Amino acid sequence: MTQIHFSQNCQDFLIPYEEKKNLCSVSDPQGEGLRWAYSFGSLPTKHIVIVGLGAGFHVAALADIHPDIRITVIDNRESLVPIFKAQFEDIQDRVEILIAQESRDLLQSDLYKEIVENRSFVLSFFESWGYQEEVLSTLFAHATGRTLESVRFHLSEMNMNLKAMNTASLELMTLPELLPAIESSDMNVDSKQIFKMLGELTQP
Amino acid sequence: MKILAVSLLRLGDLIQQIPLLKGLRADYPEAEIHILINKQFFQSRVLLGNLVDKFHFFDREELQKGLGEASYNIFWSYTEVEKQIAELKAQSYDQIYNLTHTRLSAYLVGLIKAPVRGLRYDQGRFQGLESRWMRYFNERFSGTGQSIFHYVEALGSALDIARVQPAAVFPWAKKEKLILMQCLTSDIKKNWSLAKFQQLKKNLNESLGDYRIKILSADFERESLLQVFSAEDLIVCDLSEAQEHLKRACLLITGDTSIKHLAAQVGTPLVELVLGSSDFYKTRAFTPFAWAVRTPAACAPCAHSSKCPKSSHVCAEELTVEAAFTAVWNALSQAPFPVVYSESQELERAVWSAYLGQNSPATLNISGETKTLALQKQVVLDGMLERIQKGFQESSGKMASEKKLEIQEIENLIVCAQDILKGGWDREGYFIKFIEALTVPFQNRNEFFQRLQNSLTETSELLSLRKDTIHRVTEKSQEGLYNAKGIEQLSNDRTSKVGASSTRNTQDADL
Repeated sequence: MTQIHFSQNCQDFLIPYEEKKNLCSVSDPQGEGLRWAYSFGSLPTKHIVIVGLGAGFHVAALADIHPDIRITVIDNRESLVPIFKAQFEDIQDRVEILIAQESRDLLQSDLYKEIVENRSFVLSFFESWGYQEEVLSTLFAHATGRTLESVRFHLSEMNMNLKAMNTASLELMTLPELLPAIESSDMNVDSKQIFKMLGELTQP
Repeated sequence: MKILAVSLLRLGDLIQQIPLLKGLRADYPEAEIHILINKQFFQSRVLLGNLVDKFHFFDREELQKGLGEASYNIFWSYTEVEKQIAELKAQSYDQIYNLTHTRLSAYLVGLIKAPVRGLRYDQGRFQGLESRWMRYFNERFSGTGQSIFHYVEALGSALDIARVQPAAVFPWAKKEKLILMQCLTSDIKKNWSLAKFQQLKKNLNESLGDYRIKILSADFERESLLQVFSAEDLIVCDLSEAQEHLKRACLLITGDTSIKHLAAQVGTPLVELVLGSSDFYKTRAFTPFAWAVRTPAACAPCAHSSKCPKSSHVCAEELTVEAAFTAVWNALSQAPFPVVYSESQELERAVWSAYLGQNSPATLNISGETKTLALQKQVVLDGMLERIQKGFQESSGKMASEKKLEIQEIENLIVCAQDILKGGWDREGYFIKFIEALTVPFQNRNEFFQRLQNSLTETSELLSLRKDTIHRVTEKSQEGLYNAKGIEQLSNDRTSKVGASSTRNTQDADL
């Protein structure tokens, strides 16, 4: 694991660095967070997952713009948490943080059940990922349900035949890749029909 | 009674369906009518307001984002659809009308679990194609197939909804001297060039000093239009404002747009420029108050979904400013609105209406000339059917004896199909099923021959109905025709025309 250290900027904010890489804007972290948060417009779910904590300015900005949402932040660097809590005390009741070193830490957590149940919208703040791109991108894919393991988790109640899946490239799966497996599964007829309907929406 | 109409196509289609919604309202004045439309067309509420009691919105764009964008949970769209279906199911509809006719809508209405008129997916297969009208609609309106019925007529008949006809007399006096132009369409293939619109506007300004000519523009069209027109020329407005402008205007000049259909619905006369994939017979403005200016290009109408295959936009180039100007001039001169169908076409429509509706053919009043032409065509159609039947008997006989099928054995049939296509005399599609039977892939010989047999049975029934329809027609009196020739000078003895020969016929004398 790489080292995280903090440095104070001219506005007296603590800016995290992973080795020599800053995890948010040094000169204007608030403005950067706001621009990021505004870029999404309205959000489709009330529970939002953000992959990448960094300094947390983006988390605070999103919480500020959308006062009715609950936020879960996923990261694998525990050392970022105390500074975030110290800098943004007022949003602690709306923000949960899950530290996951590997996939199973996320997939086996209670929080993951909630993410699956809410079909939560997942955002990434790429500037905060530093040198953790590989781990955080995997966690992102699990959080959106776009991996084989997460699909298995999502559809355990649907009797889905995952053997029918082409498992060659499952970094970020899409629904059309799942359709053959759905077709050959012994699942509820109406559920199958909804998937067929969604398949029509993916036609050019 | 609670009814749900499902209309998940584009805005123009939704506006075209207004006569059907009026028909539904007339058929069920006490019913609670709901409609499910695409959320992006929520503006159309102002157009449908008094016909519909409740709107439901299908958020196609958001669902597609949910399926395509990585931030969405892979099953987010699934859950949203599941929720919407539960909401619609909870309404306990007595009847659903699927006005959409797509696979997507068929899956959706099948899930609501209520009686459906129209296409639906139920028990693992598509259903609702039982009636002849519905099969006709399915075959002729899902692709580039030709139709002798308008979209509204065919869909209304397929769903058994009576259409409310617009008024037959146009109230010119209630209109302002305002001409509107809708220059851009949703498809580049259907666009006439802005330079030609500019020239037409200039010509009209010069000829019609007391008329105001304005360009309708949606917000997103403004920038393109300003390249040719001034800001004062434009009326930038939304759909409901456009409707108000159209109500006041005495004429709209437009390509194939949703504004065209809106003008038809509010009773504004229009000059329609029929270009590209725009099909005059299938989707022209459904109003008697329209002049169509059709491109002379032979390639039109082309397919909807493909790009123009020509090196230049021939159909728009060949449609001249003069042709459009003439139509506008006729319209503003309050000349009689043009008749859409010729007598021959009315006869063919009567035949097909009788066949599709399984009714007796209507009795038509046509000229002797039209009747003669119809009889001549009947000879051609019957002759072709006879040729095909002979070829079919030979082919099926060989198949029965040799238990195999070679291309040579059906070559007579293929030659017949080529002759039909080359001949160009079967626009109505009497032999369309026969041609399809030869071109659509088949699983086995029996299926192939069964399909051919069915197609010939259909053609035979149609041609028999056609013959019956011709025999039932009453001929128009010729008196009007003689009067129409104008005043003739009679000779002084009042028995022969001046200038006619008075030479004695020696044969008559012999007699």
